[in-house]
Amino acid sequence: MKIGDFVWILEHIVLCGYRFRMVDQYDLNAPLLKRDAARMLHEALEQEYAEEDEEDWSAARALQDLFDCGMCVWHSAQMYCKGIMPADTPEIFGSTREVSPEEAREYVDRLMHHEKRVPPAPVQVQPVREITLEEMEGEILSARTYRLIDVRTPAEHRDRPVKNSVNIPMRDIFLNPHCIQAHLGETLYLYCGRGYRSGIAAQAMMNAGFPNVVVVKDA
Amino acid sequence: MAEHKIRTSRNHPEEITGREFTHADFACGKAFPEKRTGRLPAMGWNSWNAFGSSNSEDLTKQMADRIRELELDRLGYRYVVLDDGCYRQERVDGKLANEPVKFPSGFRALADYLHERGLLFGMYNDIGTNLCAGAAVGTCGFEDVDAEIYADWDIDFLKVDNCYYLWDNATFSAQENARYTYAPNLRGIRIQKPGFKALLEAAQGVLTGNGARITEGGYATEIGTYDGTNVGTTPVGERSGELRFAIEVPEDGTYDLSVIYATGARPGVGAWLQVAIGEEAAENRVYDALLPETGGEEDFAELRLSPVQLSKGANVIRLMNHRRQENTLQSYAAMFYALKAKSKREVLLSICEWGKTQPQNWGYKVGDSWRILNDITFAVGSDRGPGSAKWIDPGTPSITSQYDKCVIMDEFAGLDRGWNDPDMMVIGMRGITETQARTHMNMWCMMNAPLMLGMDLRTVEKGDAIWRIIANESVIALNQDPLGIQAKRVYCSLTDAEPDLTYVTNHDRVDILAKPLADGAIALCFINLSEWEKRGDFSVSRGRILRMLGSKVVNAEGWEKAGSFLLRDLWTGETTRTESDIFRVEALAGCDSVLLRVEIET
Repeated sequence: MKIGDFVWILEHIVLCGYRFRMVDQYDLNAPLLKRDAARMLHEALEQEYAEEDEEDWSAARALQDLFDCGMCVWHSAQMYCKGIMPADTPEIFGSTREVSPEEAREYVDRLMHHEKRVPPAPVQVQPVREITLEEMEGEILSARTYRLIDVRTPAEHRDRPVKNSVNIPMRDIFLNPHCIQAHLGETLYLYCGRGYRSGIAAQAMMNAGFPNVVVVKDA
Repeated sequence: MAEHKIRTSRNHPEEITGREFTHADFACGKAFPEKRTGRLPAMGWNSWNAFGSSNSEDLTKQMADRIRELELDRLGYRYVVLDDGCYRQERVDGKLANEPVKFPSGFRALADYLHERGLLFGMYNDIGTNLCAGAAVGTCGFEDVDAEIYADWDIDFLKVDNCYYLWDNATFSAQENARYTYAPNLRGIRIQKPGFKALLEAAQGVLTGNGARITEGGYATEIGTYDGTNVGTTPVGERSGELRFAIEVPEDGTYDLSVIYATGARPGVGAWLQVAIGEEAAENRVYDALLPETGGEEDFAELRLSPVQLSKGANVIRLMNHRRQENTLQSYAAMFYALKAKSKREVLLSICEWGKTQPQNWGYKVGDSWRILNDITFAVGSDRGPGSAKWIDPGTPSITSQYDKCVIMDEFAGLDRGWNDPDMMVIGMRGITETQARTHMNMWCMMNAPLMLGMDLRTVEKGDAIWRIIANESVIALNQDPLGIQAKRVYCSLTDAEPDLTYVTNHDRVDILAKPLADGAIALCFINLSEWEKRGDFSVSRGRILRMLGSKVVNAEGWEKAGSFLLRDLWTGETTRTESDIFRVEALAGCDSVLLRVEIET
């Protein structure tokens, strides 16, 4: 679908015949990508309905491809959180793929009819669970995306490695929870033997906004 | 000295024609001779946080008028910068053109309007092919053409972004562009000559710098430069990794060199290899190009490169890829040289690649400031109302995220270099309290950040709460202090070890910053990063301040001997005299700060 065609739909259906005020900013012959649709819908929503933005956009944080672009993060996050544009998968919005005419009409329909919108569930911050290594092995078989982090010292990690784990000592995580460079949708398993250090690291991660953190210890 | 390139290619990364563009030369600390140094951080107003893409000629003129009515120009806010959203979507006859509905009179007229009022005019562009909002008017390949029109438009400042950049996986660029900025996976190298053969496997080499690693499969990977766009990765220290081999050869001569490699096209595994003989101080780069693709990241092939000259005895061969930083430097340099050649005015160059390519290492050569992270807010305003911002956020969009990284980058800034740029200010946006706005102002002034206002100035009145924050002359004076030294963090409640260099993103803490001033005073700022009140002994001694600031302090001898001090609170105006050489605050409300100017009593 071309951007120009989408503009036509916006102007005739959403804007009741009025000119889309941002139209000069677009190349009407270019294909309509999802991120363009998000921005245009957001602008049209504001132009016609002056609808307030969702203050809590935490549900959009799990979408890894959103943050590739500072320009369109906000528009895509708003369309997602308002339930006007669904994500392609729980981790990927689909920012750079083309929108089909059917999808475009569906977005417009949801924009105009609140009862048709399907907002994503707000992010449930999971209470920190404590499980054993064996229990973790069972969980990760069906996990979407996860990371296993060994928060012991490098010497301990070398002497008794834990399979598939990355060694980031507790102290580093405590000072800089973001050093893990995890996506907010990932489940983070923090291991340390007795669970004490991983408990501290887990708390630091939770405070920094990571909603899915699990403490893992030996049986 | 290399010839000044003033037009980059859209077909391939630039050939590096001079050492000054290489990673080996980043540490030299000398800006290119054509660059004017000694400038303090820029101050002004930028349209992006205030109006986003709904900026217009009319709004800009109203802002210029307000700057004067509010006497902000008298305080130093003189650059009026048009951010994204002001050009036509396409070039017209190959030239940049004004968006005709929003900027009907064109940019020369707007420049004249500003200049007549004693203000300065800034614009925005991009080193890629398109601007971030999509307009196909990026400067790549057009630097000379664009510099000429910018000269016609009489600009004083140019902010340059890196969306759609061709030679790295930048924003909106293909992920596959990482092929240019990461070396392929490397199994080893083979050196031979009649009578001599050596096969050196990756594990026999040494990984230097940071980021690269040897896999269990026995090959080196992730040879490139850390991406600095997001929170969490420190800007301090060596940000690239190399694979280094030491080899002994029996005689001087020409040796065949081949490399065993496997290519990829994603961050971590690329296809561009640089090979150098010798250490950085005197390296000889013998290869700097794309390698032919192999079947996959673990599908290794062997390729003979050109023969190399080795000396009898010990030689060092380094395999690396510094192109992330070097490509970007060349692109900004092209714009820099073009502006120098065409413009009668001094044009400040504001580097805005979001810290992706570690600009704190090389930006000083051509730029006046460099952004250090992705944006401080994504929820910008429009002509319908202000946007919103946050104190704390898990990602980059918050005051504290920008502060956390900038505060440990003081050694990268200076009068002979330029300034770290933690993005435009969010004072005046929804979601920011008065306390947070004041601490934000304190932070940006102490850190010698560019002070760019981002609110609709029609909503500010002289004497109101926001005006009192942005117009505090004694706080602005810290940012504009002629000594030009960014504050150093001398205390962090969470760590004793190297508070000035440790990257801390845990916000449950109190920091103390110290900034030496030209008149011999030192500014101290106590900051509570958390949203809750903190009580404790948040203190720093004169001894520690002097030890950490060292020779940066004017009249260090006086400071060492002083028996009493005068402390002036730059917000309350209160002055206290003390004979204690420990400077202490015992309680700070959430997000609050105390800013003191400390003088020795003579």
